[in-house]
Amino acid sequence: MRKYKVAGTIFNSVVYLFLLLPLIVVIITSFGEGNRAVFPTHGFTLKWYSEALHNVDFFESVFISLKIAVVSTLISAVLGTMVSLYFWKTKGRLKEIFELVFMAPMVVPTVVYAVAFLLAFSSWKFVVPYWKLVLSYCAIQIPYVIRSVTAALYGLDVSFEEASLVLGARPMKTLYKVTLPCIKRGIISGIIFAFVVSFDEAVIIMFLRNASTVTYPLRLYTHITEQFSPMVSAFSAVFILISFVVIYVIERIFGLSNMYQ
Amino acid sequence: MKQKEKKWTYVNKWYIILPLAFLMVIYLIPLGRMLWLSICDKETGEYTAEYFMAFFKDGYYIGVLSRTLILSLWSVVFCIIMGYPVAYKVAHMKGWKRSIATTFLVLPLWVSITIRMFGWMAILPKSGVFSIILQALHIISEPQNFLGSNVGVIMGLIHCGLPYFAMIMISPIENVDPYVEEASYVFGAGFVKTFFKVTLPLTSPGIVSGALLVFALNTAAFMVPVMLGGGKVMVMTNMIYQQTMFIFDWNFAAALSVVLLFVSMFIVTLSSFLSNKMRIQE
Repeated sequence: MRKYKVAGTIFNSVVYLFLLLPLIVVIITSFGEGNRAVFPTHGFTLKWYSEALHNVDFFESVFISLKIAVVSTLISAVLGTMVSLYFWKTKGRLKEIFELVFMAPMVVPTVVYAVAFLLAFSSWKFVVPYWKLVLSYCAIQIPYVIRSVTAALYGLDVSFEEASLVLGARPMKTLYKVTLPCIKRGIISGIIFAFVVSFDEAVIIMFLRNASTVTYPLRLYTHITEQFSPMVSAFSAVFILISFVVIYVIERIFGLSNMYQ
Repeated sequence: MKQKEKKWTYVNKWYIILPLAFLMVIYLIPLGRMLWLSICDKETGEYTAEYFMAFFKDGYYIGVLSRTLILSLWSVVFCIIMGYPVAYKVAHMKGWKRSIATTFLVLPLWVSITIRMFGWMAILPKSGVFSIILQALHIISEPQNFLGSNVGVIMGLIHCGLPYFAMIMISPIENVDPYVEEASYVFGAGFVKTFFKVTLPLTSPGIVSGALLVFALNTAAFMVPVMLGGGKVMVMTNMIYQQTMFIFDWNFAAALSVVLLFVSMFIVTLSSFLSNKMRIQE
């Protein structure tokens, strides 16, 4: 028994190392002196961080990504919650079809959707690229919101609503004062997922690339393929750190295991 | 009574019509248009099967499709081998230790895929650490470039699928009644025998659904082949990208997308079919 435990611990450490290696390498190469980000590195310098700090392009692209993610998350949170409430209240054959339709973006490869969107809207010159991205991101975000909110509604006792209605609250008041506060956690975790999906979206943007909407994954990609300098590492290292903090907070508040069922 | 119930509830048909209309315009109609483009001639606009014929008659394209599936399959095999023990360990942890273990497990998923693949691009070249490790283990004798090779792409695919697989496996392993395992120990079975005769069979439905999910995800993976394939490892997704953005043969790209769509649909249907079947058997 003992020797299996030791072997298991060693094996698991290797797996964790495998999972974290790319992230560790990115962080280490950001301190390297060479002009190309190849691990192992030599020397120690902070010049890439100061260079990244002075790179206006990068900050602009983060700002664009945020601008897209905030609006698309807002739209998909509202629509996704509406659909979840509808699913919660209704039964029947039609509902099953609707469920398939709304969850489809999780099953259909994003590449396929990106091609379809490009083919359909390439001729629509009057829609600015910004809104094309916002709308196409909404489609792939909505399933995440529906999944989280539906999970929260599943555990909700209907008698809360009945009590509110019996006590004379109007249906809309019941929705805002009782139902929505009860499923707050589900909505928030749906919003977090949807926001990350939109902010890190790297497939659709490759097909809808446009000079006026270079989001941050695309900016990273162009820098990586053209220069491969450790400045990208410095920039990425900061984002890895942010992700780590965010995800640890989420684990403490929501419990990550519940979000991956 | 029915009338009264109707008045009570705030949910009405607009809760579904509005989102459905939205999804129709931005999702369903574009997909339908793509299906139509894949069977419609470029010049005349008439029905034609030429794009699908071009795909299925040319050995090159069939090769690309089978490479897509084979690379994905290899990554699934490694995800099971590497992910199961980790899930087993995490499932038996408690408190803050478990928090830390899950955080690090899913951390890669929350880091932008561009950054993750950038990390692999720094690991896989000839002078990179991957080559050094393999040399130290005497698997290869000389430094080798893994960027733009099948091995490199598989590495990326494993890295993307592993966190999902491990996270999915945690709850099936947790749900195995500890008394069942204990009973096995009491009757004299060792750890290995208990694991293979009790724990593994009890969690096999979870393994199947997790494996098929990772298979579907990795078959449709885009950034991995684009960034680690280096233009040399052609799979369905980067071929679609090439046809759309550089060759501009949109009808053929539509046909390729339809093929990939059907492959993914097949995997997902198989997954739900198998999980239904196993639930009935239980």
